[in-house]
Amino acid sequence: MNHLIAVILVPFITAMVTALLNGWPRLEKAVSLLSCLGLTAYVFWLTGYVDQHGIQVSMIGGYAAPFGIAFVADRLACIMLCLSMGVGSVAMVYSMWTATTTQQKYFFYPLFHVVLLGVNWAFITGDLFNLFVAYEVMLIGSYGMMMVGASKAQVRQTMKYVAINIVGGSLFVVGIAFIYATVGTVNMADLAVRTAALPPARAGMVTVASLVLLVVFALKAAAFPVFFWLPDSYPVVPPGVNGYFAGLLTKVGVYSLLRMFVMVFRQDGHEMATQILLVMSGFTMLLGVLGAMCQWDIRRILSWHIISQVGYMVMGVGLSANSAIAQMAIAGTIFYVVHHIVVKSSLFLVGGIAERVTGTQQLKQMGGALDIAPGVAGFFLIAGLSLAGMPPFSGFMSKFVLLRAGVTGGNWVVVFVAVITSFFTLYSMSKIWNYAFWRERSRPWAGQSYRGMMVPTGVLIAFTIVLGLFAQPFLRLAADAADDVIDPRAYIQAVLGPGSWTPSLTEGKGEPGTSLAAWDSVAQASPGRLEGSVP
Amino acid sequence: MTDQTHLLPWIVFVPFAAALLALWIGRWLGRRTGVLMVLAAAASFAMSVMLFVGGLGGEGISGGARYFVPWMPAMNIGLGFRGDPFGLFFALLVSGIGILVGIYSLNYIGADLRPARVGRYYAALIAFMGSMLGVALADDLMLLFVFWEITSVTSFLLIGFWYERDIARRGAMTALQVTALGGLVMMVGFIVVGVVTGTFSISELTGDPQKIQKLLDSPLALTALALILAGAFTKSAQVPFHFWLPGAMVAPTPVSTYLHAATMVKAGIFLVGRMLPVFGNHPAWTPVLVTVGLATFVLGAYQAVRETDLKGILARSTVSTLGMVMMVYGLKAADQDALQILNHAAYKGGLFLVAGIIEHAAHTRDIRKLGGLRKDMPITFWLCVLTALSMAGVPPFFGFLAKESLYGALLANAELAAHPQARWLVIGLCVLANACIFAVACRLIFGIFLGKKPADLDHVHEAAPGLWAPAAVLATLAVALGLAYPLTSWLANHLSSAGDGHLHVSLWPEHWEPLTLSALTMVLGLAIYKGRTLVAQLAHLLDKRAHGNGAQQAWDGGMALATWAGETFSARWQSGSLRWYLGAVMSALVGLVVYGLYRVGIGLAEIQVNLREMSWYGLALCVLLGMATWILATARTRLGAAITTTAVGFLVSLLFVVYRSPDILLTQILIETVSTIFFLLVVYFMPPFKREHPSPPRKLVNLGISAAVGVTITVLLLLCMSPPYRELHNLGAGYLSRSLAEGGGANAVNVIIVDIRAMDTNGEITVLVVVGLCVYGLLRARRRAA
Repeated sequence: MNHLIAVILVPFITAMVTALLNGWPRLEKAVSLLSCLGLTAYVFWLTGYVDQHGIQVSMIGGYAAPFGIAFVADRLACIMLCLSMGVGSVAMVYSMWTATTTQQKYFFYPLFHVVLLGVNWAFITGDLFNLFVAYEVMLIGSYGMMMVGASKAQVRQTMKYVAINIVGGSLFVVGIAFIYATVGTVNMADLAVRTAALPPARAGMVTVASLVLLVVFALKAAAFPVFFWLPDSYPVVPPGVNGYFAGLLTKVGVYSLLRMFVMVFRQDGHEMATQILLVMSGFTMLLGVLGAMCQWDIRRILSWHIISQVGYMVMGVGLSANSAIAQMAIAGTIFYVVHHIVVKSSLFLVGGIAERVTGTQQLKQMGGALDIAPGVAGFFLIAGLSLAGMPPFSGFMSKFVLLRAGVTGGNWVVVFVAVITSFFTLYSMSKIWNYAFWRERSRPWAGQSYRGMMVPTGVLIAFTIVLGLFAQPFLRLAADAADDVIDPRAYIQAVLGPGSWTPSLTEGKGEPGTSLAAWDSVAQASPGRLEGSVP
Repeated sequence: MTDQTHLLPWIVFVPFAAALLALWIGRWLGRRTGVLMVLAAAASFAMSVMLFVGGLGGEGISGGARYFVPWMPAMNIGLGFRGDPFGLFFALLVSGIGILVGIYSLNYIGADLRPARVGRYYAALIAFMGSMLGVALADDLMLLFVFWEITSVTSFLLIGFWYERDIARRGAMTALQVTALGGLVMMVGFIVVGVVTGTFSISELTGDPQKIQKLLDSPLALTALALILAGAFTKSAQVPFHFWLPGAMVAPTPVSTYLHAATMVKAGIFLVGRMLPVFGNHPAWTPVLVTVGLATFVLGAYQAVRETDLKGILARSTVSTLGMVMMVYGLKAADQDALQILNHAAYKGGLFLVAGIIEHAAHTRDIRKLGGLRKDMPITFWLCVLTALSMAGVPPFFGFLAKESLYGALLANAELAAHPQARWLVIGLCVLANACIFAVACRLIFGIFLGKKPADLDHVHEAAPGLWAPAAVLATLAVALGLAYPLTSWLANHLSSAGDGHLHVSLWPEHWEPLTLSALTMVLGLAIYKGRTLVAQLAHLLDKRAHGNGAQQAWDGGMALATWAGETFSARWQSGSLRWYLGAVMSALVGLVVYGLYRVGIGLAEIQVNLREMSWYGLALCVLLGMATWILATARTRLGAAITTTAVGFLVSLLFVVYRSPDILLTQILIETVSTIFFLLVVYFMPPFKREHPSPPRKLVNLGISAAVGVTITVLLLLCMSPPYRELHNLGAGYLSRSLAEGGGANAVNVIIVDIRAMDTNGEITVLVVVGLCVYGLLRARRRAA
């Protein structure tokens, strides 16, 4: 499957072309749109293909794994790519209505494609060091996007974003160095094989080394206690881009946690890291939502909610320490990621429209938007309720799966925190509704047209309804994706070839493959499994 | 019977379809959208009647028509509906009153409002009706929860209909918060039930004694029960969650009638009725429900006596009656439920509609400002009299039958008989509460229609038929079901959740005890009404001790506390200071790593790196590096900082000499040189170097964090290099053998960078190019600004 490289090649080339076309805005937009839509179609096709025919691998340059860099498309990666490109296309169309000429001159479109490039790259790569490179590309692209227009506030706030993330990047390299020193490889499949066979003494050391990566991914995911970069920087980003950032950037961190801490690290005692994540998730949920409750800037509220929501996803990863509920917890996390990306992006897009309609992003100065723009109000209502986990929208199903996993596993504290967080989220959403959409109009209507922004937003809104009412196929896909991650034999065989890993690599640690038997117990049917998932 | 099963989902989904339609065409139809509501309600009503008639002879709560299609089999959630008599009773109630409320609304909702707004109102009202029907007919607990929360959301929108008013928004917010929190908690309770028993289907649960036993034997039974009851109590406004209901009275009257008298508040009771066969034998069931129910019964009745707002009076007496039904369920006298609920719906619905008419005409709801309207509004007066007498429990009205039956059931109750000391307390409190309700009924009749008419009520005249006709239907029901008592008996038995009810109600009492209690109630009630000034004084004394509405204050206090906590936390934590952010990130790293080392039991003694293996120039470089870093951290000028940065960079490059990797050394030196030149070029344009002077303790903390990070990373590094932890079979050998054979280059580093791992290099080049792009864009933007 050598065309896997398209997921990074297309945005890469588009970024270059659009940079050259900067003087011809119309042409630039057309190329951007075509590239986004085309790649979106490709990744949706790819998802269907992978779902039916199994994991697809492309070895870049033809060097065999674990030496060359592997691009791997399993179900999880495909789901993430669909989200990245789907939301990316929506945000692109939205931005065509909102981006100003100044922003366009400032290489808005090329930078957008660089962000897409970095995010897609992070999802498709099967190599830990390459993941670091993807992080760097994503970081510089997103930094550039945040700076678009270069207002004073942007320069000041994004400085923190880039500084914290550069520190995170350095820690990433340090962490990789520790992992390489103790395990001897950076290929993810190879790492999974080797960590599963580690002698107990070294397993503990690898777990400690993995904690460095845990901090890096938690930083990217904006989990407590290291979410600092998010609430300061998001409110100054242009609205359309903000929708994409809100959806995807932190989820790259969550994805990395899933990939590394559920699939890759399999040494004895690796559950310690997931248990730490479970504790972090509780604090992230609760403190994030508490931070949101007291804000009065609509975008700051929504930004704090991202943190809180990330807590739910990390909670699923944390719950996976208990093998009896691992599949349900991971499936819940994946479903939650899908739900969250769609809903959070749409909320930011709706917030952008509300700003345009009312001419402010200060909640107290808004008001009466229901009378001016009932459609926008309807969109917000759906997305806000979905975010809070109200049925029948997607938030309900995603929270339900996670709560069910928590109840089955007897993790009452985190279940309690999750419920309280959901309640506070509802409070916060009803506060926005109360101030922005109800009340009497306090200011004259800004009078700007927003119709063109409604269509892309509506696509996302429609998806949260579909995801809630017709969740079954998505749940099934999430459950199968969870199986792939929890029991990575298929992944390993796809990357390293059936039995192709050299005995020297596992020398003195038993025959290759024997350590894999331990995973059978994980994959066995247990009360925490989703019913009806494909065997 | 089975051939009508397919109607079940339609009863629920027809209203939802109508709601969508109303949302779409409401902006053109305006007030006339109400017709859609009437039609949808009538359709659901007709289908419910068909199912009820077809299912006669079904066997109670576990019986009835069932409809099932898988919805989310992965989660074991099905689209399961069930038309058992109790569910259908609720469906009939919801759709029947829906018709009346629709007609009433058509005449009530003003023509002065924008059509789109009226359309939205009806859309929410119809959607509410659909979700209420869903609650009534859902067989799957999760499906029930879905509809349950839709009722919370639609009621939020409806209560806040006058969203320009502060008080309306506040009432809506409180109602949403309380009921939604209860709903969420209830969902966890449902999940517990599902996890323990393996099913979410109510009929599967009630039909299988083994599953019920498994649930009751489980250590989680009490948790599940408590969580589910929390949902029921919040929805039905039971103590201590009773405070949201009076606040919700700011809603338009049709909404209050429909949501807060006839249907939504009864959802909690309905749920408890559904759960009785499941949890009834749990030891906590009776004590909890009787205590909460009785407390609500008494407190609600007492507050109703004190209230002066017309709708407030009705709301509080509604709370009171709901408490009574809770208590009845607690006593497992389930055969009473249909009788009591039907009775309440008839008279209270009627009274709410009357209150709406009066507000419409008199422009006030304060009972102290009303009076003497009998002549001006004769029809309304008689409607009020009929319904209020039924509420008071005067023969021959429906209310009398219900009250008699309740007393009879209390006297004969097995649960109460087992606790003789509690028995008379319960019965006594019930008499007291009913007496208060009696006094309230008197007050409604006398306070509004009789006595002296205030001067400013001259303009009042009789309402349009569209307004009083629905009230008349309910009033007729309150009278007719009293007179036609055999029919009432039949209905009460066939609609009850008990299924095998043998309730017998009659205007001609067979026992003297209930009759005595009824008589006592009336006498006591009359006394309370007559001595209302005395009661008010007593209440005033009580107030001084209790400081008004404690539960509301506690709730508001809780929310304020949460907001305060959030404010304090976010202001301190998200302070905006980059120094603090980085310090916290680094502290988190150190903390986690130290904790990890402690957990896996690796100590410093495990480090087995011999520093003597390092060459002397290597060590010297390290010392120099340390010194350069220190100078960098204490640099006083920007230029000095730049130069020491370069020094650090070059020293690091030189380290590669120690490890004999000239390629990397050259690359590193190149980068350092270029960046130094670049920096020196830029430094000229930069503003003066601002040095912060933190206080000594803060300096110490910063120093501590820096030192901790350095030590932690160094220790980890040394540990990773130590023999037991280091993996010697790494990829290195493979790269060396492949670089010439497959990459065609003898220099392995080069081949890795440009060929084997070219993707990494490509990414880093991209980063550089994008930085250039950003800088160019920034310069362009600045130049334009200047």
